[in-house]
Amino acid sequence: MVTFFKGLLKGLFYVLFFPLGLLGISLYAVFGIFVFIYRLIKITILFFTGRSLKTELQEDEEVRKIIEVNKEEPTEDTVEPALNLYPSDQEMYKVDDYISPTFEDKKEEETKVEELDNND
Amino acid sequence: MTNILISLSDGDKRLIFALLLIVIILLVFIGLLGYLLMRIMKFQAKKIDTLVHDAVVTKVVNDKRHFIRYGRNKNWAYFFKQAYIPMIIIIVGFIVLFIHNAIYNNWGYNPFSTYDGFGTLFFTWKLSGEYTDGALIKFAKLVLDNTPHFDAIAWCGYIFGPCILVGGTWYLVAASSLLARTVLLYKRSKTVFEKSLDGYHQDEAIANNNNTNTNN
Repeated sequence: MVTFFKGLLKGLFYVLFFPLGLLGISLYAVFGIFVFIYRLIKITILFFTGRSLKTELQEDEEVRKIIEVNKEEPTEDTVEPALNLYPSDQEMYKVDDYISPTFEDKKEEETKVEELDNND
Repeated sequence: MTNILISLSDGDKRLIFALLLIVIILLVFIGLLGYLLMRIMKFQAKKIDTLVHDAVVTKVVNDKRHFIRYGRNKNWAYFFKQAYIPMIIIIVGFIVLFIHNAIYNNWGYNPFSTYDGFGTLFFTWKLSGEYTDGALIKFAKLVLDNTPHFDAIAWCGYIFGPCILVGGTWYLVAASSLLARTVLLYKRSKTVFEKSLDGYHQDEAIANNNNTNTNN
């Protein structure tokens, strides 16, 4: 029964969503025409004034530079603080308060293992 | 109410039943269309992730406002890329219509007319002026107005019609994808820079830090 009513509500939502969605799309389409004309005029002006038609954003340029730096093999003289784009799982889920075992701890563990081995 | 039901003829009852069935089928159809539109828009929206991913991961964009501004610019630039082909198709259609009207000096020409336009390729019906029999409900009868046929005089309609239909549909798909991307962009702007304190306890964190410092 609950599934039936859920389905019914979903259906009603889609019935209501369809005209609203169409209205939203139509408004965006009309607005898009104006933006399209504006960009077309801008590109035409750029073309006839002999300037580059490439309208790359400043952010894209920065991203490209960072990616290039990451691709290059860093030499000892020119080590730039490049960002790690694809960190490993270990780095991603690193816990800041993790306490690494000290030399004494390791030594203690090794002696325990040795004792167990001798007992066997 | 009972009196109205008694006074209804068999024909009326059949008509009411048919009308109810049509309304139900129509609602189901609209619902399915809505569902389809929603699924398509969800699929289209994913493109915004690809567009802004690198800038976010490299931390070139690192706050909400910058993210929205950058995302909006990328979104519109992508829309321009998507929409220029359908726009060209639509413009070609209008150029053909303009040339036709200039040649025939007929500026009131209807390219979708059933006499000399794109409408000649479709079945069309018109009201006959006669009505169906029924005690309460009467419907106007329809008569066939046009059967599909090819007419050389309608050449402009045959070019303009498909251009507008294909270009228009393509452009609407681009617009729907623009809307879907915008919605997802705003959703992402709320979550990408979100800082959560779920499961965080300040005293524990300080104690852990102190432990680490003493061990080191």
